[in-house]
Amino acid sequence: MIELKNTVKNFDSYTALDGVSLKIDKGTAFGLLGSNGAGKSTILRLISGIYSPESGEVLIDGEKVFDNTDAKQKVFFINDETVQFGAFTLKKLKNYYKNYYTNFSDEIFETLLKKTGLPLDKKINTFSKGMKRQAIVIIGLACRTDYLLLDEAFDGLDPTMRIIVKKMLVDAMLDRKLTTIISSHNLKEINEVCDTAALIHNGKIVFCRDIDDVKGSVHKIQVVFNKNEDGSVPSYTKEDFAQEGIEILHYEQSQSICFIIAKGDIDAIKASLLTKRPMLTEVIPLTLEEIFIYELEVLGYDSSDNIGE
Amino acid sequence: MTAATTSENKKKGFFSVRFRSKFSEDMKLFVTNIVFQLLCLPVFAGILIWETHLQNKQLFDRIDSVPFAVIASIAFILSLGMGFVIPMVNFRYLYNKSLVDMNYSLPLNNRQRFFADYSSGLITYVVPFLIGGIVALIVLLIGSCCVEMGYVMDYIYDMVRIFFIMIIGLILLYTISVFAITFAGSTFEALFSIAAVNVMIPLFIYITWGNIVSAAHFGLTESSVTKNYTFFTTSPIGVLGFFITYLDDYYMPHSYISSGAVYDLTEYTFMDSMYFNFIIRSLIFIAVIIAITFLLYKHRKAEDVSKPYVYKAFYYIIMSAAVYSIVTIMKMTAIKSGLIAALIISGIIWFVMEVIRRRGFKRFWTAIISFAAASAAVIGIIKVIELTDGLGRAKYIPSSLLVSDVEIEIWGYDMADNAVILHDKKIIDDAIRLNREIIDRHFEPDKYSYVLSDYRLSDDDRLYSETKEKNYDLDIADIRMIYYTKGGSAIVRQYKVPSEMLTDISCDIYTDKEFAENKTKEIYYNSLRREGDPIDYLDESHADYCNFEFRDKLDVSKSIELSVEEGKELTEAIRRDYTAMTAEEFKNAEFYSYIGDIIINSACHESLRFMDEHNIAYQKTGSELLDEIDTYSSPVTVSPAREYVFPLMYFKNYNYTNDFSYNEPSDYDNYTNECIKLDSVFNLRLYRGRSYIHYGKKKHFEFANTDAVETLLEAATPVVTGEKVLAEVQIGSITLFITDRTGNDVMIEKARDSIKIVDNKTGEEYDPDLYY
Repeated sequence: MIELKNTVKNFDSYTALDGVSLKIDKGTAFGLLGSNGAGKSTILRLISGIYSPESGEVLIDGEKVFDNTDAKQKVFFINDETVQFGAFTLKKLKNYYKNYYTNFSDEIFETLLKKTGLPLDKKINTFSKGMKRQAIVIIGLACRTDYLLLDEAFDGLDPTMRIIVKKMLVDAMLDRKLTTIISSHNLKEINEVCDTAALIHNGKIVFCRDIDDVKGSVHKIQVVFNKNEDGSVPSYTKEDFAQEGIEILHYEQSQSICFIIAKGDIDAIKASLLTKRPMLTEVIPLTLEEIFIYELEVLGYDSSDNIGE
Repeated sequence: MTAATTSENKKKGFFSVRFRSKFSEDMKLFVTNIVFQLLCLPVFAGILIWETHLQNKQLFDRIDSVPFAVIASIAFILSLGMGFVIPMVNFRYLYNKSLVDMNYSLPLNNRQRFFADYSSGLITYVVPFLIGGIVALIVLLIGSCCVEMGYVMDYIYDMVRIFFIMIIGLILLYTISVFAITFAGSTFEALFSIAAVNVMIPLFIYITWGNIVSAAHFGLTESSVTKNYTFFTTSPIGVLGFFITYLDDYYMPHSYISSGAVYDLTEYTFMDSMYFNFIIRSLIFIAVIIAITFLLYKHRKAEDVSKPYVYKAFYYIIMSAAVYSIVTIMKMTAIKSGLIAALIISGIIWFVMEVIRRRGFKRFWTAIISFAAASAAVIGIIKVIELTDGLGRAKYIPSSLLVSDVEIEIWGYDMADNAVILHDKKIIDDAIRLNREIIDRHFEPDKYSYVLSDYRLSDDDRLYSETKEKNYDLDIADIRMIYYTKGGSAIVRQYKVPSEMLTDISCDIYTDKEFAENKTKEIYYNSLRREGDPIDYLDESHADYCNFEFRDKLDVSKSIELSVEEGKELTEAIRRDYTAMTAEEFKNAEFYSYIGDIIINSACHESLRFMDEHNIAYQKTGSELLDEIDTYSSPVTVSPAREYVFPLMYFKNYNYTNDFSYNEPSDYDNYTNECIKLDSVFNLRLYRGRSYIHYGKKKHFEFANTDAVETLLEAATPVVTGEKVLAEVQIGSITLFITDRTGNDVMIEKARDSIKIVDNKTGEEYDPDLYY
């Protein structure tokens, strides 16, 4: 299990992580969501022992990870840059990592190599960006660590290769309960691969839950109101619904139709809406991306405002 | 217990894993370095063989080896450059975010990663040099089978020692480079810092010592730097300094042996201890730098990858040292506006570097403040050094308990031309006592009173022109004392003193057991000869006989040949004589002759017995001495009533002899001071640097009363050990003394009255007094 306890990480005067606490159970496919500069990569670097926290603890299976070879043996980190050993061949790169990771499996490496069709004896700097990414992913998987950390994992991969890489990850998770932590802006992929996700904003955790729970807790409801007796369209504000005990993330009304993004139990929300005597109430499924956008909107990270600027 | 052991093994294993993978990355650099090294020392070895071959064939004008020497020199420079390249490549990940991620996320701790990277780089850098050295040695050995290498092959052991000095230099260069890389923030900063640290460390030491000497020049000399382990062992430039000094002081005396010159055994003995001291101190310094570097590395955060100068303190130390050096150097020029010029130059350099470091003008006001602070600190340090008389160094003499050896070198009146290094406590105490007195005379002048002469130094005409009334002699001896402490420091002091102050220490040295042992060995080894071979041999097994040079008081020499056994017996007898002789006996003994540069006197009982048994004449009568004088080419004068004088300013004002004297007042001011009238003089050698009248072929000397002159020559001696001198007898360039003993004044007058100058053509006689 990976644990971050009240972790603070500063970069000079800038606080990248502000008292983050997080628990990631073994076998979890964990997605890290967040805006640019939110602190996702910082969390990954803390977990992989690259950074040391200013305060708090980062533990892997109960052991502090920074400067701890035993703990670091259990983690393989793939950063958002392409592999750096350009002068190496894939074979040499494999041997390089094989020395460090005692559980390295040649068998897995060979299997994955066949799937990707990467050349073994060509120098890595002749590879495309996507090929480099595949190369490091198959090495990461072949290292058979307990935890695999991927920063912007699917960058540079073509759609077919994305599917192959995803499948490789999922197979590893199923086969040996690999814990995968993926940070990505591509929420669709997080949605597809991960079962748990955390949203980080300005160095703080906004939420950390099972993705299905996340989806189940935020709802997009389309409501059509009856006209008033004088024929006018009733006009409501966000606050009118908040008074009913509904936690509104987003509210938008056009004529008699309004869209509400609300958090909470859907039946309770529906019941609260009944006080406004709607003509029609319909729950529309939300994508993870929409949840991400609306959650951050509440925290002041509004795309429309930014565009307006 | 088992789990802990497994974990420990794993940790050790990861170091070797990292080391192997890093070394594998360095392989191309390793091969490149081997190529450079194979083009370096082995080529030099080949050149040595070829040159020896040409010499053997007496083909001195051949220059075939020059192109190869150029290639070897270029290869050597390139291989030195690898001392920058290898660490830059090995630690380049510190300046690249992706590489930091990849390296820091590996299952290694900081210690394993640092030491594996450091070691693999070091091996990449040093092992090719070792290989080059071994190949060079093999080339020399193979070459010696084909070419007669003579004495060159006797020095293989010395070459190996010199080779280790070079290895220390390489390790130091590499380690300092890693150190600079660790505190810098980018490749440019690292390259700048490597160069700056390598230059600034020796420059700072040298400049600081310059400031101290400038502030307190009483007895301090800049040559202290060249005997300074701190200077030698803290930078590659310092090691180069040691390398040159070592070759000069150690290797060269060896080569003198082959040319038949004096073999200085005392220096040979000392250089052995200096060598190991140097090696140990250098290794300690390297270990300290590695420890500091590791601490910096350990505390350097992965996220510091894009920061300019991760440890800014080191940047400011380098820049402040640069300002310090510029200000001091400008001060040395003694230009009135030097300080302002120095600050302007420093300011320009400071601000340019700040713009580069800050990547622009961000918060540039802090750069102005930091420069002002650095300048104030530099001026403050220089002022403190000035106000504290060079941090009190001029007054400092180490306690005799701390001193292991003392090196004494006296110019003009010493027992030999070379410095002697002794560790007898008595000699150390003598040196410290003498030094204390000299310092006291400067810093506590009220304790001493002097009888002043009416002689003025500025009155040059009166110095050597002798008159009936009074003859003046400027009696100034130079003494350098180097205290080698048990901690390995070398504390150098150099003074000008009247010769009489050297009497006690010189007599104690001369009768010191260790000195006698070394000096007699020296005479013995220098006497060894082989039939039909002009080259001297140190190894007595090669020698067929001994050849000793006996010199009388008129410097007329005679070679005495003895068998090797007899030679050994004679030098052993001299050793025993001097070991048994007290300083008082040495002072009171009658001078007979010199063997080499050692005095044979009436207290050398065993030596005299040996010489009597072997019919070796060691003492000449007045008549024999007179016969040796060619009165047509050598003037013979007697100058009575000499007044020996010493400039008081050497006690009161300045007392050092080097050129590092930018604050020194003009010579005129110095030399118009008073002179002290001296009661006695000290002299052991034949020459005293007198000028003498040369008559060419026009006149010659004749003696009306040869008995009087013979008596005078018998009484005259080159050796005066702190006695009053009544007259000097000048025979050509030789100066002999007539000391103040009963009847000598009458003898002087008789001899003077009998000396005449006669014109060669006309036979006209002149009074020699006219020429005094």
